[in-house]
Amino acid sequence: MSHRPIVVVGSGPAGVSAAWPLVRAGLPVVMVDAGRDRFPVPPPERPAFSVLRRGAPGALGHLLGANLDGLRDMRGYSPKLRTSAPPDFINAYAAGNAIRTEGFSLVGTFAAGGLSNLWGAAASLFDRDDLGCGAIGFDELLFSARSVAKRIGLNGVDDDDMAKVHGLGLPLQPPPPLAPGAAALMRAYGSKPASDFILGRARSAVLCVDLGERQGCNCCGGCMWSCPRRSIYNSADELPALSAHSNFTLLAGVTVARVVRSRDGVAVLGHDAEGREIHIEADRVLLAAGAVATTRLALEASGRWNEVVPIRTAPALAFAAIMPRLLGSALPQRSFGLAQLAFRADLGGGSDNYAFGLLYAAESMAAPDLIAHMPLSRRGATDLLRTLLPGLIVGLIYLPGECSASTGRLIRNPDGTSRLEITGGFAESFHPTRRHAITAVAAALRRLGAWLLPGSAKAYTPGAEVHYGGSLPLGQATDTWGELQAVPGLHVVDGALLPRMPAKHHTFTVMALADRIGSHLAEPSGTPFT
Amino acid sequence: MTRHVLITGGSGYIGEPLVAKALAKGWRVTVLSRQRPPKRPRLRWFPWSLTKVVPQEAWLDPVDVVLHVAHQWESTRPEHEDENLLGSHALLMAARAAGVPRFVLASSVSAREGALNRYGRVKWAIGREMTGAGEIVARIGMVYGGPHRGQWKTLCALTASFALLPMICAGTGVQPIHLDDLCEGLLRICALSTLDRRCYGLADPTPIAFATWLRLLARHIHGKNLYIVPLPLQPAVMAMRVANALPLPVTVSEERVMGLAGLTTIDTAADLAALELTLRRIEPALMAEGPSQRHRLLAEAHCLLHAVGSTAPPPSRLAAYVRGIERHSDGTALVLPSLARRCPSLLRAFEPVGPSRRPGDLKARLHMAATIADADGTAYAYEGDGLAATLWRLFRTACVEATLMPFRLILGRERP
Ligand SMILES: Cc1cc2nc3c(=O)[nH]c(=O)nc-3n(C[C@H](O)[C@H](O)[C@H](O)COP(=O)(O)OP(=O)(O)OC[C@H]3O[C@@H](n4cnc5c(N)ncnc54)[C@H](O)[C@@H]3O)c2cc1C
Repeated sequence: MSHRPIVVVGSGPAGVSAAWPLVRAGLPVVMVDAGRDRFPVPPPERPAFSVLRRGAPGALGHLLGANLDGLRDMRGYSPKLRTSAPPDFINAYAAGNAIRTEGFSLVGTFAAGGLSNLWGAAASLFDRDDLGCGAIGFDELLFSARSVAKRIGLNGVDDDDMAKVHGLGLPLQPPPPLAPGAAALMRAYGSKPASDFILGRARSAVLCVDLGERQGCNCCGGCMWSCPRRSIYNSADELPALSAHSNFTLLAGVTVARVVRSRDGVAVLGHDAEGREIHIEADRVLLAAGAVATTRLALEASGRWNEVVPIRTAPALAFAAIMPRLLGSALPQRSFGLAQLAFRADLGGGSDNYAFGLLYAAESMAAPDLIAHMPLSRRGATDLLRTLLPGLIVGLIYLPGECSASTGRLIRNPDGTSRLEITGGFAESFHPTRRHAITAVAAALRRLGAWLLPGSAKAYTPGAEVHYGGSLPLGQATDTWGELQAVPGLHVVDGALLPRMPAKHHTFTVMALADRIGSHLAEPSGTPFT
Repeated sequence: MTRHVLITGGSGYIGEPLVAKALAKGWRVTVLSRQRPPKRPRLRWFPWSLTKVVPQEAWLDPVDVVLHVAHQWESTRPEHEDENLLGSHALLMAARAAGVPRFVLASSVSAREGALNRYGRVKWAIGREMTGAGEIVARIGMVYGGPHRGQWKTLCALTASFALLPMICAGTGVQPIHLDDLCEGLLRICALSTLDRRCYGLADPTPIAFATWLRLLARHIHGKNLYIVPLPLQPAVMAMRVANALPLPVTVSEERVMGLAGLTTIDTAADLAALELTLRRIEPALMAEGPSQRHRLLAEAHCLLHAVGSTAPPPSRLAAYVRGIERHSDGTALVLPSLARRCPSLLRAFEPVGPSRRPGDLKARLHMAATIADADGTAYAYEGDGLAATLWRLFRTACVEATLMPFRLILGRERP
């Protein structure tokens, strides 16, 4: 056996999931990440959101950050980028990975844990239609998904209509209590089920019961401002446990610039924060730098210059709906701030053509993010929002990746280095599909007693929804283990691998795929799946 | 080398800082003025005015340069016997008699033969006498900055009191110069070892329209907008003469109006280069004359936070706003409508309807204020206030917003 390590590039959810089986098998693993630290974890004494909102001392600091970073203008992105992310993180990622964008809002970060520092933790498993290819069997995926679910902790239910959309047969913790609006919707749905609109509990990678060092959710309602109890899964939380293994090394603060074939393996070239060059000879390299950064590294390693590759996204829309019967009622003192419910709306034309959505209780979000696009005066909009709050529901609708038409192209710079140029765009089907989805969701919600607020549905610009993948599809650009044909020993293990980008959230599936590849590489003699 | 400079009008708007600057350079200074300047080392003073003879003792200690800055504005005499004309002549003769090698006259850009106002004509006439070796005319532009005195005070007051100003010759070019730059320039003329010209222009080489100048003053000194309505000269002068002929309690000074109408511009670039003098940039200099940026941001914070909440904001919010603008915006205060500054609730009528167009514009700042107020707010009804109250609040908000909308559509439009 070679004593050169297996290098994993990236400590996000994909990199960590790929690393675990290798580390457990005792293989030498070096994880390289450009980020040094994770995003700050809020102090444990942070009061519940409902308390902060009623003027608890220090509310300004808790909700806007000690440096008032919460005052940045981050319209057009998830509110979490304003409330929980340090300034300028997006630019550092694009610059560090030589990515230029046009019409595409690239979100990425150099941080331990990658974007799981920020994510909404919605965790569904792709089914056969979602995967859309025969390159891997669903059962293999399910095997890995179970092991990932056990490791990170998922909450949800296995017995409502949405359970089969999220994936059956996974270990689940009990879900957090529903907010009044979500509970009312579920009651109404129970008496009026429909075939083309399925509603149920959301499923998320958030603990409701303690797991290791992480504590279960106490429903403080402050999810949008990061979790002080670490209930929301962040792959950075797994780094100490990984580092406890002597065969695991974390190289933090090292940016990978290139990966190249070397004599009988793969070499990773990069530099540390002080600009010193780093050169690692590896047995294998697993790319998990986030789908877009991985695409550049992989295209360059395979010499695929100037080729146009798809950068699939699941176009997203945000909307607000109101449940009149809840107006004037009390707001819950404790709540869960991430998605409460999930839905699947059929778009016709095949079982892979559906919109997937999440519903949030508006009271767990900051008013400014909700009023940003209202044409009223700021004071009027704030008043209106506060008045409507008990009955207000905020939703996200994701459309299938076939509606996106963003592409990437690797360009050689005059000095020999590379850059990835991304051009954002929607497919022709986007607008009709968007209209169809809004109409379908509005009609379904109306049946359940909630009214879509006119003019509230807003599409994100391509990229801002942060569902990236599909540039190096499994079984086409790579073999079934993510290995690039052109560069033996170099594997893609993140979203870039996804053969399709369905409307469903993809990260949990990406983690399962990464686990599957890691497990395979840990036992090269045979398949671990029995 | 220490010099001995004699400065007339040493307690005026220009004279006072000029004296201070000369002393700071280590020069000896003799001041001729009506008022006694504060006692300082290396400073002598003799009481003098343009109608008096120069005391002989002033020349006993040999003077290297005379800097003639004194000017008497009111005169009861006919123009050819103007106090300035005769007094300056006497001063020049005395200096020549005392053998002073250099004489610098503080004159004006507007000095010329046949100038429309007396000031310009008199200054020109005095300058005409400066024919000897070492006798120099400094043609000074529109002086600004420093203590609110003289014409600077008038302009500051004018731009402070009016939101709308009818004005003749709105497009006439003026050439500003900051008081400190002017003093430095005058002292450099005194110190020049060789004189290659008889006349130095001390004024910004690029003229700006007088109306623009006033608008800049309003914006940077008072943080407000000023609207100028240009008036045609001839009808305005006629109307003024008619008005002055009538027994009205106020009269308009024709002298001032004609001074404005007759403004000329001169080319000063070469003179400034010869003096190696770089004038400060006008807008930053004006900004520095106004209240500090922090101070203005605080006033803005008061107004915007009050507008998005309904009560006077507590200090914690004000501080967050100022820090927020300094950190996430360009850190400069906005020019708010004066109505809204006085009554912040009315700012809502100026709020643009569409989304913010530039980072840090009014809409973006209002949003920032709303974000702060929300994070620090207490106005959430966690106990629920019932359907009736909710419907009433919705109705009220709808009425107010509907009423505001036409105002916002007009007043909230982006201004150039
Ligand atoms: C606000 C928000 C909400 C989201 N909500 C959800 C959700 O609810 N459900 C869901 O499924 N997904 C969600 N996502 C998306 C999810 O966060 C990402 O899909 C996921 O984090 C991708 O994991 P990854 O490991 O592939 O990459 P990343 O998380 O992007 O991690 C990449 C890692 O690689 C490192 N890296 C990058 N380039 C280099 C380099 N050149 N050299 C060295 N290291 C490098 C980075 O530092 C980083 O640690 C959300 C994202 C955001 C921003």
